[in-house]
Order: sequence, then structure tokens, then C-alpha cells
Amino acid sequence: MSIFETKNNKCGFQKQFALDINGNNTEFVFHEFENKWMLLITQLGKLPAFYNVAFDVKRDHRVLPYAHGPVDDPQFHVSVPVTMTCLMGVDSDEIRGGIQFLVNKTAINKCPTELIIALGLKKVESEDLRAIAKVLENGIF
Amino acid sequence: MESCAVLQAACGDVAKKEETPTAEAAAAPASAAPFASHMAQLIVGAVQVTLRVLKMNGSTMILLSNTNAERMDEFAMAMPSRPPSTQIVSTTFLGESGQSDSVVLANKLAKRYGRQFYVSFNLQMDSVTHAQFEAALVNYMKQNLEMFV
Repeated sequence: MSIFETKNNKCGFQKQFALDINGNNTEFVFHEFENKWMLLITQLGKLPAFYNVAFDVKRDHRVLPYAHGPVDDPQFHVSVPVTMTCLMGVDSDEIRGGIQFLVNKTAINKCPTELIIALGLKKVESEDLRAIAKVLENGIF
Repeated sequence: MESCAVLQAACGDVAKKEETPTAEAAAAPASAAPFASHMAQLIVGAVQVTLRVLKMNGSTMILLSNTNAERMDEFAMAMPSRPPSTQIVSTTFLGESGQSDSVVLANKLAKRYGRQFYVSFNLQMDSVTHAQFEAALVNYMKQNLEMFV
């Protein structure tokens, strides 16, 4: 009979690590599948909700907010158009806002497929989201 | 491809990795244990299967797909009900509704281990191969239980 053989007992995904974000231990898991990207970010030790993010505009036609350099001015704010669907768990505007922020601020917006994301933060605050965006930019993308 | 490196230097001062476990960390409840993951492979006939496992606090995620084309077409979750009920509650939240292969496997695992399981089963198999595959998976889980629960 066939048996499984462990290939990597340290890490099963393209990226998996834990960091302290403003005093909260935050777990990051990222993996690219052929038809999805999967990104898990949680400070809760579990996954409170899963969202599917579909990009409304194909990658090559997207006008990315920061394609010409970061512009942190609300007057010139551009959001990446996405359709977000809560697959499982509590659906809240705060989490949707947090996911949209990460899509706008990081290379998530270059995702060629759909994205499955779980965002479990103790408090959805801009300071934490900015720190997470920085981690994603430097550590994953 | 895989990288578990903690990216302290790359992430600047916004993020600090916890260094060696402190006394406080050691005294923390089991719920604060870090996530653990691993990868395994199995050859079933002509198909090479990749198993990816993420062990979380109180739940486990299992992703199964063809090594040549890793996809995520299905995703399901199953977990035990609150006592005194012994029932398992489950749902498919990505892919076909109803009795998907993912939800069937998640149900079996949740019942066997009394734990929440997320399962993404993305393999096309006939019933005989499927049974053999499940037996191989259960056997592997038994041998490496600490990596799953």
C-alpha cells in the first residue's frame, strides 16, 4: 500500500511565520495555488472568518493605487475594485475594510486569480493594518 | 520554495519576532501555541498527491491536491458540537454544495479526533483508489499525530 512521505516537516506552505505586531503575536500563512492565493493572518490562534476576494478588473487592466509611487492623500485615493464574499464566519464591515486596505496597500492587488483570506485581528486599527501591510510587502510579496 | 524564515530584518521595527520563549510565554495557556505546518507527498497509482497541513490552536487545516497542479476548488469545515451533543456540524464553504469529498473527510476526521478540521480535497479518484488513499492518510496521521492534533 502507498504511504505518505514527509517532505518538509518545518513548513508546509510558501510562507509561514509569526511576528509580534504592536504587542500581539500574529501568525501569517501564505500559499499560491493554481487557481487561488491563500492568505491567513490571525492574532486569535484560530481563523474567525474566510473571505473570497475576486478582482473586478483583470490584472493587466487594473489601475493600481500605487503604480506611480505611494500617494497618501485622501483627495487622490483610489481603491482597487474587488468583490468580497464572506464564505464562513462572522461578516463585518470592519474586517471587509481591513481586507480592502491590505488589497490597496500591498501586492495582493497583483493577484492574478482570486484570493482566499482570513483576517483575525483583536482590534481592527489603522496602526495594526499599516504594520501588517508592511510585513506583507517585505515578508511575503 | 518553502520558507519559514521570520523576516525581522526585512520588516523593520514594526514587527518583532519573539525570541526564545520567556517564562511568561512558557506559562501561557496552550491556546497561545504557535501554528505548525508541514508537507508530505504520496504516490497513488499515476497520481502524486501533496498534503499540506496547518496545525492551529484547536483546529487543523488539511489541503490535498495533485502535486503537478495544486488547486483549491473545494473547502469544507467540520467540528464537534458543544456537549452534551455528540454530533458533528459541518459545511462546505467553497465549491460544490452538498456532500463534497472535502466535507465527508472533514466529518470523519472531526469525529475521530474531536477537533475542528478544515479540509480542501482536490483530487479526482475512483472509489477504490479513494478508499486506499483514505487508509493511507489515516495511517500517516496515526504515525505523525503530533503534527495534526
